[in-house]
Amino acid sequence: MIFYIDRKDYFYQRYTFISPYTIVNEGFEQGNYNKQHNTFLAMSETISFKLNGEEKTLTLEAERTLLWVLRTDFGLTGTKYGCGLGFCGSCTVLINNKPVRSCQVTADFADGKEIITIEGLAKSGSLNPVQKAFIDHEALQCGFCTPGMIMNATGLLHKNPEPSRTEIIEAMEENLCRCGSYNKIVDAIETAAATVKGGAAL
Amino acid sequence: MKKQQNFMPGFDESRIPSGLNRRSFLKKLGGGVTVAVTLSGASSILQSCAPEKTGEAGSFNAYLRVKEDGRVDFLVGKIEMGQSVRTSLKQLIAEELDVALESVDIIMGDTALCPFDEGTWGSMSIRINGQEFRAAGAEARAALLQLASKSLKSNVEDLQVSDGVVTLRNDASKSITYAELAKGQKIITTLSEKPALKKASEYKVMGKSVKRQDALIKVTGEAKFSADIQLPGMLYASILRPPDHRAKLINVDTSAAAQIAGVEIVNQDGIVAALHPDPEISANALAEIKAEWDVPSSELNHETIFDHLLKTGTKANVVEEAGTKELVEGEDIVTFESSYFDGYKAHASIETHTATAVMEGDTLVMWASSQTPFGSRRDLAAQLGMPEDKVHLKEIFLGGGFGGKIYNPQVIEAGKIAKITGKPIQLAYTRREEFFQDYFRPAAVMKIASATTNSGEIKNWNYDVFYAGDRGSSFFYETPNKLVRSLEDSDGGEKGLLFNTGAWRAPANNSNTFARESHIEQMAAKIGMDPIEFRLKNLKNEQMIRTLKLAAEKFGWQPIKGPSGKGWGVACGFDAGTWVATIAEVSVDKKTGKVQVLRIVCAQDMGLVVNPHGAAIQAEGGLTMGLGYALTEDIEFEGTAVNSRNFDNYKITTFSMTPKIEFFTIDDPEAAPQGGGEPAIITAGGAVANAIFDACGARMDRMPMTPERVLKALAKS
Repeated sequence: MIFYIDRKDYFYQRYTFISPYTIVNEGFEQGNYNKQHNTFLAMSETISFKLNGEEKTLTLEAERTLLWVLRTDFGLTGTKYGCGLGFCGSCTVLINNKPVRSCQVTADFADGKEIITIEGLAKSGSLNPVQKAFIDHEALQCGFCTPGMIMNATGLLHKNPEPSRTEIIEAMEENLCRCGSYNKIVDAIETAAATVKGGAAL
Repeated sequence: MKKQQNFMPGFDESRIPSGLNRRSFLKKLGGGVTVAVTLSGASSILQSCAPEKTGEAGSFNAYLRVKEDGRVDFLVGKIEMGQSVRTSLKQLIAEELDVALESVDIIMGDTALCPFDEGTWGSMSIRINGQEFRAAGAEARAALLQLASKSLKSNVEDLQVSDGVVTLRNDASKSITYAELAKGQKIITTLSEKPALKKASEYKVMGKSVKRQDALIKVTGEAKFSADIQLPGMLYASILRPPDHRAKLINVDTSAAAQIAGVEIVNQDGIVAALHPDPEISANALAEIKAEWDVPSSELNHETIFDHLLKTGTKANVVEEAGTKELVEGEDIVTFESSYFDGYKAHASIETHTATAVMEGDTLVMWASSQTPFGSRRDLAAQLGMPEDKVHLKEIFLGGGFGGKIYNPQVIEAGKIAKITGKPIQLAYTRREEFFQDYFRPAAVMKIASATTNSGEIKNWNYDVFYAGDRGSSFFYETPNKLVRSLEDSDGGEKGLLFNTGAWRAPANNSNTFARESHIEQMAAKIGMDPIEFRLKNLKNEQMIRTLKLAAEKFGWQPIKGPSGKGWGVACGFDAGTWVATIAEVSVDKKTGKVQVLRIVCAQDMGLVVNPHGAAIQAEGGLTMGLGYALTEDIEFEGTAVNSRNFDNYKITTFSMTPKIEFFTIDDPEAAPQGGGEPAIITAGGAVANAIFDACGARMDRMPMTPERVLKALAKS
């Protein structure tokens, strides 16, 4: 299930907030809403998925956000919380090679699928072309948005291996960087695309 | 450099890093050659952004140790928040010590290992402290050369060093390494006199572009930020917040929340919080806490705030004064009067304020996103009633700071909860909490009255800045008559500013430079003079002149009479010792009011550029960030309820807003290095405002320059 609230944000639950992604409070009181877990799914469910190349099984007692499952259950802290509403892209992971905001999907969304996080991108110790290009172009400063940027860019190159500069900007537009590395990031993605074209694997 | 006291003998106990007595300090140091550095400049350079004076300046702040394996440890209380200071520091030390960059290890911001530091702000790490860090390298080198002269049985003058290997100048077969020299030594020294630093012509590492040293761990997800520390049994904390800054808690009922399995409630010491090993459940439990608030009403909001600031801003501080404040009169004189407005801005780092804390025995150990680890330690000790040496902040990366992480309410909150519960705690603000708890860049009004002759000589400059602060308000153009006043400042916010406000990347200077440079361009346009010609005509400062000329040349500037339709705009400024000139080119959609910045050229005179590549990245980053405050960022509020809650209604710069940015520096390697993190951003507002005017004749007097405001200004033009 895909939802549009930051379930870690108390304010969103207590006060009405108008945004394109608002679910108003009243919704929570209906159906089989489970107060403890702030969710409509209260049954136990076992899911399995591939995580960074390894088969994983997870029993969910309730709906849980994928971001927090990755960080707390699997210790994959490279995937960052930035805004909780899908606006900043810091939590982006690949699910079946498509970039997904892990703060905007529940873990059961991954059932039967393959998840790759920033920790799983380098294959047998060698960086993927996007990671390498980020270093070469110094396309990062504080590094906090970097994992999400790299995952989103890798997802773009899976879908479109030869993006134009405009297509790169369009695809990356909703990943935010406060340090101001955007131009360097676009340069890095262009370089990575060229490397992939030359035969390097993503 | 000031003369420093010698560490031994007769060392002044008060100069030992707080928390370490002399014996434990000596014990802590391993073998090798150690140099302690005192940051003499730190306390006198406290700028408007400094939260408070610490009284600890004068204790030594950083030490450098050439270890017995030949590697170099440099321990400094500064922090890395993206500005790449870790890399620049390595360059300084490697240069003066003559060792490879790779053999230097920088340990930053650990309050138990590193000596006291006031905090990382004000572009000071290289500008103010850099020369002293270099001197420490030179001092250690001198001590090692003395040892080498004994073992090689030669004069110090006959020795040379490369990559940590000392050789005889005339006999390369005779050599000894730093590792061999440091072995079995325990030499401790402080800088007793000014050591001879290398000349620019001798630089091997400084002045060369070096890639940032932390890139690899940042692209693999290994780099640890405060929320990435996961301790066994750790509980995530969700804290009850008021709906409005002035709201008073009348009633709180935590009983329903306490029913949820595994939830712990804290209701003590001004904190109401729900804790749980799953961060989503702690937040859900918090939602079950019933709270009743008394919220006072207020007419003030982001539109009416400016009148309020003008009314309440009465306490004036004269920054500069010359001649008369009466506007010159005459047939040849044109006078101007205008006001400029700037709304509140949030720091909006992508990493929210975070602290992970645990009591280990009687010591509080914490990883916190703090720009001031030692200030945080002091505050924690005071608030928790613990001695400072029982509070230990550890080294950690910060996900951006920009001044916002000088203020760390989360540190106190997490510390209190960890102490109350005795359990490991993580407190990471949600995005909305981040906007609510932020110490905003203050809203400000700048009022200017001026006069110029028709031939472009500025005759008057009367400048009042309300609430922003005085940084960047000095008028560096020539004029016989000026009065620059700062009314209130960001600390005088009790009656006027409503919110906590504080340092925001180049505090005050963004607002002041926007106002001054907008007004200058307005004057030039009125008398029909090219805006660069008008500036040069009124400048005597050689550094500003050469910087502006460099920017104009690189941009390919042709004289214009605004509004020319080309969409070109200039802004000059001065911050953190650096002169900066920026030229922007924009297009304006006259139907929608939408502004697209097409190109930015920026030039800086910043003395010695330690790492040209790093400096370019800082300037480009600053200008990119600056386009946000210029065009889109505005905190919306009603009374003291903050309505900007996430990135959908507080829009920072995005990929598509970012133009091509070209950056150039004046080559002046013998000059002392100046600030690099802050200066460029101050010109973003003025350059864009002036480019909008040049594109379509709309004179923008308020930031951010949103499409609606552009359309409004266009209608008036």
